Amino acid sequence: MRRLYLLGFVRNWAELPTFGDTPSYLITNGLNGVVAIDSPVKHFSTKEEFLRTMLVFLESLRCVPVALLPIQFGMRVNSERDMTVLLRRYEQELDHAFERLSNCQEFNLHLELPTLKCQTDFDPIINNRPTGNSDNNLSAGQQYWTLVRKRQEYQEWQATLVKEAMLGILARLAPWLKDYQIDREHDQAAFSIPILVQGADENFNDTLEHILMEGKRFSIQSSGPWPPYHFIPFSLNQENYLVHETLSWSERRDCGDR
Amino acid sequence: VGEIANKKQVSLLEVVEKLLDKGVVISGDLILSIADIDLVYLDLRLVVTSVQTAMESSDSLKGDLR
Repeated sequence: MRRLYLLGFVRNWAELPTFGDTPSYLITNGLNGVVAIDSPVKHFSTKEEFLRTMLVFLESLRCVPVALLPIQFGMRVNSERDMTVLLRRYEQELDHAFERLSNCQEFNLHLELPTLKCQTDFDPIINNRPTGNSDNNLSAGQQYWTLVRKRQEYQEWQATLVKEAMLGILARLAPWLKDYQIDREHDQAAFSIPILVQGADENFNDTLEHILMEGKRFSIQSSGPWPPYHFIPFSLNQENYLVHETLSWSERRDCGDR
Repeated sequence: VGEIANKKQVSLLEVVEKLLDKGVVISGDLILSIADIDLVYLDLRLVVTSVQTAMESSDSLKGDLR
């Protein structure tokens, strides 16, 4: 049985980069196409090797006008005919998604507060929780719970600080910002969010670089541009020709297509 | 500089690994398998259907035996 792993739906595929030495397959239907590669466990010894090739592939995409809607990796079909069926089945969704994401790229922003001394001061005390029933321990217990409460308040304050800083960054990127995903339940001193940027130009790059350089109170990192992984407006239904796999890197080249 | 470049690449690989679980995802049920190993296919609807079919078969078998 053939195993074709779906990389993504594409448009303007004339300059589609190769995926290392791995054979790839492009099937088209009108304006839309879908790309698949052979089983990675056949062509790569380790997950890291595969990820490096994927990174090079994604970086190459930045230099060409190919539009890619990535498919969650691990999804596979058994034949090129299945790829055609997939393209026809999701033609409307694809047209809509390509239109919505035209000229859009994803960036990931990561903002983190440094570990402050007062934060580390809490932990040795809290980790030595008093035990037993004596009067002395009653007072130690009260002290312990006061510290737990203070640490919680401190963490909440940190989370608010980071969230406010991130919202400030988003406001500065607003002219290019088409969408972003923010975790409403966020309660930590580190914050990662994917943002969807439309028409990223030199001004955008300058603004982002400026923001990254300013990281005095916070450590700020960014990655991208990536294809819009977090912003695909549709999902696939369960189809009898689609399988979602977890790749096992203990399996090697000798497993082949069976 | 080499070390910084290496660290940067490692952290980029981590980003790529996380990204690969996003994109056009499949909705609904849980489908699990491991590459090149036989599929373990968990579809809750199928399980329900299978149980229902099994019960119906069992009822019909009982009917036949009566």
